[in-house]
Amino acid sequence: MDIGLSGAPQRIRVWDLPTRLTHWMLVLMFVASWATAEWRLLDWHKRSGYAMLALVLFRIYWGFAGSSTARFASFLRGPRAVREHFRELAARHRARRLGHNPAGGWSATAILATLILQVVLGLFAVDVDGLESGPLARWVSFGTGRAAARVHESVFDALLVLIALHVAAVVFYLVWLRENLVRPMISGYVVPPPDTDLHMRAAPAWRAWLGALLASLVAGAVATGFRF
Amino acid sequence: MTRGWRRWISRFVGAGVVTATVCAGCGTRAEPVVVPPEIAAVVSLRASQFREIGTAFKALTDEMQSGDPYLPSMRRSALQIRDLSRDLSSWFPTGSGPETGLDTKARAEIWKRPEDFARATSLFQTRAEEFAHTVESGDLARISAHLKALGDSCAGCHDVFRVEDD
Repeated sequence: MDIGLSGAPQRIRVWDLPTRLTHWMLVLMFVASWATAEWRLLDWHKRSGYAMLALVLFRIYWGFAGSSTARFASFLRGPRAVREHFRELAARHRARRLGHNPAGGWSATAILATLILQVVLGLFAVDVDGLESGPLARWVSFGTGRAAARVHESVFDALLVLIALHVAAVVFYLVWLRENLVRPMISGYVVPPPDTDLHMRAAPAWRAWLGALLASLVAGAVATGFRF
Repeated sequence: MTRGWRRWISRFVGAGVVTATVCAGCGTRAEPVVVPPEIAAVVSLRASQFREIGTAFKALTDEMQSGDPYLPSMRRSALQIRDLSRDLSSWFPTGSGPETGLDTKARAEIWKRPEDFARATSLFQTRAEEFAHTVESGDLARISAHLKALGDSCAGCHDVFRVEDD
């Protein structure tokens, strides 16, 4: 482990900029989508939905092409690893790990998967009067569009539960392990556990730009209902 | 298992059984509402008629969003909405509200404020007639404006007289 000039353990990178930006923009767009739905600002709700679509598409891409800690392969672990993690938690033992813990990895993936489902449902949803609809609703009947709108509402409740669990876990880590998970998600840096030789393999910036471009193009095409 | 634990478990199970029995009683209606068959039929009919109106509206907005609307199809939907709007006031006989316990989104306000409801349905009828004429004209800017006005008359009525569900 690197030791700084002061003798204090040095911080190392844990989350790259695209991962952090995506995370906080997802938070922002979730709040925006919630507010615009409550206030019945459907034009703005659609816009925040398209932004959400671009963000989830980018996050999936980054899960394969991003820095090591952002990759699904690095944090989606089997049930044994999750059990082991809970055992470590019970013992207040901070594992030698960089990035998501095995439970957190599944939590993040569950939120991402549910967000995808939510966005897709929104694309096909139709309002009660048949006047407002998602850009792909013309491919389904009024009844199916209404069903999509109803499930869209239920999935929103499921998202609230998942997000509440996510935030509760962050608070739990702070109280139980004295580990602040929010700060690294803002700064990108973390003080690693002692005696570790961990490092994040950073992805080149061009890959992030390429992903952002592709995600924006797809979201833009969907927003037009594939009418060019 | 120790005797102490067993006692706790049996207490827990006992409390659960008592709670379940009491709650089962809470949910039971003292007197089930008897709904005349003609009322049940009209409640079912109006739900399906409103679905028809919604379907026609969706067809219209789908055409408008296509960028190249097919007018004969829009005409058919506009006439369908106009015809259904003429019958609308007959779908709400007294006694067909939420008190029936049937699956309906109609609010009791419909029968508490009959004049307001009549005004709202009449506005919808007028705009549906206007819209059917406008579609005949083929003027897309006017069609778009009148479709919005027609939609507003739906929303205006639903805000007050329909149970909000999304």
